[in-house]
Amino acid sequence: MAELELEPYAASVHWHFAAARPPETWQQMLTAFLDNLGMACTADSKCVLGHIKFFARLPHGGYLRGSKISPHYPADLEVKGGTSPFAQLQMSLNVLVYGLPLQEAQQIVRQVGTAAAAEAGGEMEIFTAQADHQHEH
Amino acid sequence: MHLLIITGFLGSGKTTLTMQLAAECLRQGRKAAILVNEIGEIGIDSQLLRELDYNVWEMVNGCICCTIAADFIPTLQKLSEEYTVDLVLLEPSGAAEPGSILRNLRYYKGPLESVYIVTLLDPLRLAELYEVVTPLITKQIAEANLILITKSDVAAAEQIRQARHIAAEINPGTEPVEISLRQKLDEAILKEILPWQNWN
Repeated sequence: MAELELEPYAASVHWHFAAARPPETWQQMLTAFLDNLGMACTADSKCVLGHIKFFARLPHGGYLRGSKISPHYPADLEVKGGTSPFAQLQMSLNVLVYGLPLQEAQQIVRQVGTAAAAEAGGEMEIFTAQADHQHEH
Repeated sequence: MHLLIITGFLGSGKTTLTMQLAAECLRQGRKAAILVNEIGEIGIDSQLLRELDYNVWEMVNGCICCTIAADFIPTLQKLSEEYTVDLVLLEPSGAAEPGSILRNLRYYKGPLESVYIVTLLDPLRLAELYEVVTPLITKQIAEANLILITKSDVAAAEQIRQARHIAAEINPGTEPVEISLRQKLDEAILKEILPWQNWN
């Protein structure tokens, strides 16, 4: 198989809901988000998932982090220190998928994120970092 | 100052191992600094490490072994001169080649007692990844002083066997050790990895 290019995509993703939700509900939604993102990024069989991960500080202390390393294994999420419900979350997201062009990664994150937020009755906004770096040796 | 380079492909467990080693340094009364390099524009691992109050230095927006190699030496210099740390735990991006990092070290003029490379292999994905990023994984394995096969608690016996086979073909002089980073590192591994316990 040919060597694949890696174009890292990074974004700040903001999630908004009308009412506060407990951390467990956020965890369920974001697990589905990561799992769907992993599937969508590798829908083209030539793409290979390197790592999709996010980190978010919780509004009342603690953090939520998630990791997806393969479409064949479930996403791994951890909530630490936060028990109070909250309505908004701002996460840093990195999408590292071999063979997936940057623009496509951006589109996929928008589509999958919008769907995840809408299904849960909320909204999502993406603020993209200046992610135009290609990894070369 | 000692330098410990923790390499391995994306998602192989580098940050988890780094955290465990940093905590162990603290427990042993040693001063450690974590130097994290991530290829994404936003540092995710460094945010986590900072949240947990580790002494973290971040190098983002490029790979330490190529595109931002020039930032590495001044950072190391600073850690040596201004912070007098015992150990620098360097966690390069999963796309970094340790050999390139070692070559860049020739520009470092400060004291460096030892350099040791630990390479993590994720047996769940190694066979698949080895096909698509062969040169990178080959170099990460070939340049290792110690190879740790992670996720031994969830990997199938066949996946572990494959990982051992790939490691043995590329770096026959190193006997891989299976670990699960969900558990505390055992004393033998710590003795092998931490410089004041075993290194020459």
